[in-house]
Parts: sequence; structure tokens; C-alpha cells
Amino acid sequence: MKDNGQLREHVLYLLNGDGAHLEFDAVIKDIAPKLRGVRPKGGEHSPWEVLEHLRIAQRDVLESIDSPNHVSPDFPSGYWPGSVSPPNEKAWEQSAAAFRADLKALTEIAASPSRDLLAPLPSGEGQTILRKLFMLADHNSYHLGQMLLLRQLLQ
Amino acid sequence: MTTIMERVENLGFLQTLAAPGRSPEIPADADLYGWLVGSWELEVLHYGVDVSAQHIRGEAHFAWVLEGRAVQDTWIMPRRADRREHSDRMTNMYGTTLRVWDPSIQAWRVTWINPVTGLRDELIGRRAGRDIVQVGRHPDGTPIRWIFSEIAADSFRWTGEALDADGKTWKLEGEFRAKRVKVQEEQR
Repeated sequence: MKDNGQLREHVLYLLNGDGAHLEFDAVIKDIAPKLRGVRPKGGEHSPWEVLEHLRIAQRDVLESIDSPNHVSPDFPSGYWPGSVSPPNEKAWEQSAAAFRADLKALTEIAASPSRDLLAPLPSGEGQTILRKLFMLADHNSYHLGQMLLLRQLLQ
Repeated sequence: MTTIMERVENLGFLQTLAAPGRSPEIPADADLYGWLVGSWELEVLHYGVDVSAQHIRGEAHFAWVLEGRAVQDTWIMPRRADRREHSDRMTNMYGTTLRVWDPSIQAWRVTWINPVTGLRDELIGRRAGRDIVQVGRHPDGTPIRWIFSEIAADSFRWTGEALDADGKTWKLEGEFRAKRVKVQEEQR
């Protein structure tokens, strides 16, 4: 197996929100509790919906890499929460903590020399860990940008 | 005459270890392991190699512990009735797993220790669809994953896999099929 050391560095650069990419905590830290369940006028999602979407989609990627019997949620409904607002006071922080932990698990996979980033995943369709991580970095970046815009519109 | 177990109980160890149920600090939807509480018979199908022809039996016992913030087991192979002083160490475990809910990562931290061989593994456990998947590493750094699958009220399958040196192939290390021991059977 090739080490892919430089490739890993590039992937980690993307996942960790370096360069032109937004960093997760920097985006969500100043969203006041009272605004987390509010959709701005003309907007389709609240900050809570976007946060949960980020968490669910990222968990889907993590499971698809490490869980042999993984089944993705129904698309698109399974990738969004059932409510506009957090169901309780702790839900926002729980969701954020789960996002951070899953991202850490994925960066550990990306950094591990024992994982072949280019090997086809058994789930089929020619996907590789590398492709999953590229897609995830892209997805996180898009929705963190959306979250930043929401924050500005709501404040 | 006082038995060893009575002496231990008198010290309060077992009473302070065991808990009647899940701590309210753990959300109900995060309870991955409460369904395991009780006793299970194990059929050992694979342990390093295919051992299904050897008909090895094991046993496992689960309980809430530490004020309900953790689920602990004893995982024993071969079962106590079949254990001998010089049982083969290659197929010998009398260990424990501690699964502790960690709200900071919204997941379970899992530690397995088998004093028979000195093996110690650390993993993180999460739900994955209908399965429960624990991902971690052996002490030498080899990625591992343990999976509870085919979960039913009175049975489950447990598999342990390690990532091969090729970085892509998961190799089976252990496979157990478990059947719940009914309370009446336990008391016999």
C-alpha cells in the first residue's frame, strides 16, 4: 500500500477548514439560542436544520466507511431533522459535539497510514475513502457558508 | 462459613458497582447497550481461526454500573463449566468490557481488558443503522471494529475485525452468536 502522505495532508487541510474553508466552531459559536430555530424571511432552513443536516450527512459518510452493513438515510428527508427548532436546550450542543467527534474520527482515518484512501469501499459503486472525504469537505464547506449567511441575516 | 463472594459483598464493592438502570444523564436515544443487560450464552464460531467445529461455548453477563453511566460485561470463553486450570490461552478469555457514555463526543468509550492474555483495546461505539459499531485500535495501532449485528430481543451476532496491512481488507478476528439466558434458566 502506498503511503499517500502528501495526499493525506491535502485532505486534512480541506477537512479542518484551512485556507478558504470555514471552520465549524468559528461559524456556529455566535448564533444565539433564540435564533437557532428561526428561518429568515424567504429562507428554507433555520440554523438548527442546517446544523443537524451537517451532522447527519457527516455521520452517513463516517458509517459508510467503517460500518459494513451501512444503509444511508432516505434522501432527502432522512438527512434533515424533523423540527425547525432544537427539541430541547441541550440539543444544539449535543449535535455540535457529535459533529466535532465524527469529524475527528474522519480526520483520524484520513491521517492513518494504515488506511488506503484509494481502495474501493466494499459498499460498491467505485467509491473510495478519498472520494467520500472530498465530497464531505465540499458539503461541509457549502453548508457552513449557508450557516454564516443565516447568522448574518438573523442578527 | 463466609464465602469469598459474601466477603466481597460485605465490603460493598458489588453494591457500589452495580446500578439499577441507566442514568438520567444519558438520553434514551443514546442508550446503545441497555438491551444487553442480563446473561447470554455464546457460541464461538471464529477466534483467530474458524473454531466452529470445536463447539466452544462461552458466556457473557451485562449490567448497568457506576450510577448508570456505564454498561459493563464479563465475557468468558470457554464458559465457567468448561474451564480448566490449563485451558488453551489461544481460546481463553475471562475479561471485562466497560462502556462509558461520553457526552462530549455523544458516543460511548469502550475499553476491553482480558487479563488472561493481557490484551487491552480502546474503541468508540456508535449506532449505525440497526447495528452497533465500535471502532478503535489494537495496542499496536491496527485499526479494529467490533460489531453487534442481527440484534433481536434474545439474540445477537458479534464480530470483531482488524484492518489488514493492505489498508483496505477487514479480516475477521472473532465471531460469536449469543442467545439470551432466561432468568429461570439462570437460577437453576
